[in-house]
Amino acid sequence: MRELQEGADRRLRAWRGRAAGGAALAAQPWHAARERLRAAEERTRLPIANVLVLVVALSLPFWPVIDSRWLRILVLVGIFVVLGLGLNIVVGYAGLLDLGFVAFFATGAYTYAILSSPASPALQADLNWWLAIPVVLAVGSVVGVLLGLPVLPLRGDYLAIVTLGFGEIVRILLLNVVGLTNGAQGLFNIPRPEFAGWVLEALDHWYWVLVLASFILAFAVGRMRASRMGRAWEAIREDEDVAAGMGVNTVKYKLLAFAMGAAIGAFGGLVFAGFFTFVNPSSFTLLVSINVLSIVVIGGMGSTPGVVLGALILIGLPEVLQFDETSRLLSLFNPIVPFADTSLWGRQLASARFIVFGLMLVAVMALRPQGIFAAARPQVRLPRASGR
Amino acid sequence: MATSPAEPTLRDEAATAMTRLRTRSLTMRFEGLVALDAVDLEVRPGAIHGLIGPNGAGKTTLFNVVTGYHRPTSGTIELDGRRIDGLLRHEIAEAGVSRTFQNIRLFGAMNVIENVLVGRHSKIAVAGVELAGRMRPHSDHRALAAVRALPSAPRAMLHGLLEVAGAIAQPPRVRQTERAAIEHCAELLQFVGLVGREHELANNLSYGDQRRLELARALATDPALLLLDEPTAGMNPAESASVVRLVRRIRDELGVTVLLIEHAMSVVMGVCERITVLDYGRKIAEGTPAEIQGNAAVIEAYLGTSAAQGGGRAAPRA
Ligand SMILES: Nc1ncnc2c1ncn2[C@@H]1O[C@H](COP(=O)(O)OP(=O)(O)O)[C@@H](O)[C@H]1O
Ligand SMILES: [Mg+2]
Repeated sequence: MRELQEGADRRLRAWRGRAAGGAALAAQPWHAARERLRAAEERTRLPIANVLVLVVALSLPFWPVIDSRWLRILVLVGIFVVLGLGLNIVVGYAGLLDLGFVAFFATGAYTYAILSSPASPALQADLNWWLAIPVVLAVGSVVGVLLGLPVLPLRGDYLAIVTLGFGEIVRILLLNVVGLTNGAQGLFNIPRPEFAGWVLEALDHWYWVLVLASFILAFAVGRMRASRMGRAWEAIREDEDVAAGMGVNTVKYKLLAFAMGAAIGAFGGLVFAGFFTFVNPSSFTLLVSINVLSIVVIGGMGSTPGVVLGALILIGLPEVLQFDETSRLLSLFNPIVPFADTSLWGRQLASARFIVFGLMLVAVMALRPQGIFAAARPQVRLPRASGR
Repeated sequence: MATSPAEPTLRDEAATAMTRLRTRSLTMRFEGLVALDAVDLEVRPGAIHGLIGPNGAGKTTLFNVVTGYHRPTSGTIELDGRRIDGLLRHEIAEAGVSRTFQNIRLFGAMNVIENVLVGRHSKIAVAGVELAGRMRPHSDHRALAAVRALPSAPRAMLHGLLEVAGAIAQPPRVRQTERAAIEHCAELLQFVGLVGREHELANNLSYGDQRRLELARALATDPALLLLDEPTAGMNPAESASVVRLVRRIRDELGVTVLLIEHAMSVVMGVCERITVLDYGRKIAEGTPAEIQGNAAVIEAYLGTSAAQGGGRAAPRA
């Protein structure tokens, strides 16, 4: 039994090694470009790529093609980017396969809803959304630690199954602790974020807030990853026993991974509640966990650009496929494709999205296990003397 | 830790000078199988001490028990006179025991330098170190006393918060200790002969280089005692000789005491000052290489009655 488990662990490690390793660099089409960019950033000491991406992202609402439908989708994508950044810490860095991430999303959304919605049966406190940020981060990380504690000794499949259960437990609690959550009816009229008379309501404002929040989170997560904490996480992913033998308190860092992931997931929930002004348990199903995990895996485990790309593909694309413009564009293929109305392809593809995602997951696992954007190693700057 | 600084006495220092590692009737049982049977072992500071014995004798198990991977069934383990059995693995590492593995175990998807930096983990500060009381355990600052008085759950949370704050905000102390750690690790890589390979993935190194990297990583914890589990296994004579030279330099230049498991008799006899022989979990001999070579029990364990006892001894056990 033990040997079986160890054999499986070893194979998994070998696989992960390959996933993150040699194949990644050699097969990466943009590897050379990325290296050149990195060299330029090194020379100018400016994060050129990040600034460019930020400017382009912030300018999107001014582009003529971007109307309110697009913005609504981009906000949704933004929420999933936030969730992906959180889960990435747990799964991508620390290697803890968490299938119950929706629990933290729900925690954040309900914490704010309970403390602010006029429909809240208990604890209603008119909490301002902006002030709720630290509250939600704190509650999220505490819940992360609490759910992390019982799964500390578990690895791999066992961990996945138990966390899956946690996700469901939280949803069932939301349904049944009516005195706090208002049960299946949910909580409504949740106040929008308001600051000195400015109410966050317009779609473009929401979008900007999410872009900035994502950048701040990505920066914080990047710093964490490049620190001793990030190295401890990755060492735990690679070989937990050896990490402990090298002086890493594995309990502490696993709990920190759960706490950080959960705090960010809860922030995603806070945005969700403030944006939709309505929460009920049916928004917090296993499907959310699966979506976020797929985003992380398809984008590239441990990769921040990967999370953004994954969210665009998995959350954004199915919506865009249903646009009338897409239908019109696709109908151009009608003359060359017999026996089919090509204008329907977009909608058909969107309604079959889960089959497509499943196929994508299989394809990524088989062909490019490191994900579309393989995670780049954080740069450790060497001292001059022994320099390269 | 609540030890007062006035504690160490002359007696303690005398004991320290005598033994680096001491096990007393160390026993490890796995469901019916006695892997270690009342082993008394004494390793002197500054020694290169050999640990030999047929396959399955319990050598690796002894390492696993000393480093906290297994909890001993009975017996005690002391490092420089201080009990370390019962400590957690990372505490044993911090107390000064480090090791390599018989089957190489690197953090394969991490860079060479990052592998070594993980070994340097506990030498890097977190935010508010003074507050957390990690770096100045003897300071009698009021805030520190307040933190110490906290129950363990909130204190752990505070430590976690300081860890995160340190990572994100990178205050000067964190930056400075991180830079010092990188410098130290770069030097260690130079020491083991991996200069210029810092940014390669550990998985992409050759077998011999992976063994060297494991040595550098183990040294990064600043060990007082280094346990090497068959560091020359699977190497050709030239590679093996260079690793042996490295082991000598680890002792001579870094002053690290080495306990070495090794199969090649030429290596053991050449490099070790003292040798302990295990067989079926029991210590059957101990002494200088010359004494061990002439010891009847050792010769018998290696060549003798094993075939008569049902064979299979010679086959490597997984
Ligand atoms: N975790 C374990 N569980 C059960 N038996 C073990 C375990 N580790 C080692 N053993 C057994 O203990 C004995 C000693 O093994 P080991 O210490 O690896 O020998 P070696 O001297 O070759 O390093 C062997 O019979 C081995 O099968
Ligand atoms: Mg062994």
